[in-house]
Amino acid sequence: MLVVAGLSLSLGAVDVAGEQVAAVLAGRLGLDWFGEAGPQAVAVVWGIRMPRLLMGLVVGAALAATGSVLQGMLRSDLADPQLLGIGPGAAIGAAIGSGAGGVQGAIAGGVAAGVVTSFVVRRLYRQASIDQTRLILSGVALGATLSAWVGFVVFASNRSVVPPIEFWLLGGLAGSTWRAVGTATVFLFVAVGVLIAVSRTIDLLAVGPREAWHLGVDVDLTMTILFIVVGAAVGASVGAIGVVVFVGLLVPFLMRRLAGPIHRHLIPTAMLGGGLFLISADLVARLLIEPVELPVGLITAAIGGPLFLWLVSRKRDV
Amino acid sequence: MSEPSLVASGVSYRVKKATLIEDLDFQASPGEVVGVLGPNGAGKSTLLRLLSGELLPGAGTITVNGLSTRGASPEDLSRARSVLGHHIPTDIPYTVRSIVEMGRHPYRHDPAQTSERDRDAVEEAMRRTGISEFAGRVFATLSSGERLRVFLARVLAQEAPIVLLDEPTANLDVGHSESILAETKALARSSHTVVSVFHDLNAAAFYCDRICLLAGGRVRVTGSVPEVLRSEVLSDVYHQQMEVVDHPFRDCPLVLVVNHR
Repeated sequence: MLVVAGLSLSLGAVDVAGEQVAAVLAGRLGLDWFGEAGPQAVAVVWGIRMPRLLMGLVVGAALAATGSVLQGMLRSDLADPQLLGIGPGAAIGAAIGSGAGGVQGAIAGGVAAGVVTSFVVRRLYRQASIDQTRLILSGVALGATLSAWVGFVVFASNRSVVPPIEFWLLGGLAGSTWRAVGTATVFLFVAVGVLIAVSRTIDLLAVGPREAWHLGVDVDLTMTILFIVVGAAVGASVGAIGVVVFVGLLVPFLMRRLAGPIHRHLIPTAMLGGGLFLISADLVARLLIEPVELPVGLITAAIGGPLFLWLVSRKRDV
Repeated sequence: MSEPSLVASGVSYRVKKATLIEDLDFQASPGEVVGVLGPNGAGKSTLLRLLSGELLPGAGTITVNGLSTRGASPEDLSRARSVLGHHIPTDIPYTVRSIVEMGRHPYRHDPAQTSERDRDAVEEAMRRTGISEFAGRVFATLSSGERLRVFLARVLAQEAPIVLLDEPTANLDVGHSESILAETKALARSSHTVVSVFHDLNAAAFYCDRICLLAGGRVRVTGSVPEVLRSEVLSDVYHQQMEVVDHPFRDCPLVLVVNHR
């Protein structure tokens, strides 16, 4: 992770030498071990790339944590906060919010709309609780519909203030500022804290809602709380960097093989994996067609999509 | 016989226009195995789900160890009764030990339950059900007989005074089902209240202390095994000619199916 982080700070449209990066970081700590850093290096590394790196770590962690929780409580490897439609729903609120109050407004609007969309998905889940495939299909249809609405909102609003449609639907870490990182981090860490606190109950839900109820879990209440928290976390992440698909699908899937299915271990492991995955994807997005920067969601989709197909085809023989 | 710990009185349950349970009275006391029998659609599983608190009766009341199922929290209920469902999930990614440990979930807020106490209960439950040697295996890789034993161990770890079983042995071979039923009988002998749905009349004849025979959502007969397992009653309820004789090897009746008409 440190290697990827170092490369993220160093490489890009303007390459900054390794010693310069180290000098900037040491300089911020009041040390001058690596000599004086040039003003351009400071601006690039500390002003642009550091917040971008941190945003990638924080949002990647949040997406992977919420993905783990959704997959656990819905008992489906195919659950992903964005694919279920929560992300695109949050993007509507985030786009409206960004017109009103910049990044802070986008995050606040994303949280509000994320929670609302999460409730809709919860309703769908209640109706489709017997059939997992139907839930996923409903989520995909919901996501497509809501994505169209994101477009309507974006094209109807002031284009000089509201970021373009590809930011919302494909994601991008490019504009991350220290301010945005701060706001997003507060939201995401509170949300993830709640998820870890109730992780034992998620384990019981993963066995089955009836079994969990027999063991004293208030299933209805717990599911509602989890959906609210997931909606808020996904909403905050969408407000900050737009919809980035498949992080919440792929990372929990891989980390479950590493950390096992117990959510107390799985969620923190997935957070590390999610952060690493997103900053790696961002690095690829920046370097693949230099100096053009690709939306990071293209990279995650290019990797995650095939995995999703494989999971679907494997499901049949279960 | 001690005071009944599980009481249903005047219970009805309807879904839309269909009446699944009508004006039903039921009791079970510590130390006995009460079998719930009846043809398909008689309301056996619905009754069990009402007794567990999973469904709430439209009329009448159900008390589980003094708690009314209407208004009791899931957590309080989970310390009063454990449930072994008819359908056991197959694709659980957890290890055997993790699943048995989940049986301790009801005590997570109880300061008197230390982690040693939890561990002892889990070890004891696994030992009694003979699953200790594969405690580390993943549940999804087990055979159906082993899976049922794991779920039974979880029920034992839950240490609830009332145990509800919905046809636990439906898919098991004779050897496995006898060992599970013997374990439930042992639970009753250690003053648990055991209520189990049975499909197999002869298993019920041997393992039950009392039987409640349902038909069309009502109690047709309830009483001791010889009182309920009588050829006229069974032939009428199951629409199938049956004879009841003394079991040649076991001290209980033996139900035999006679040629149709």
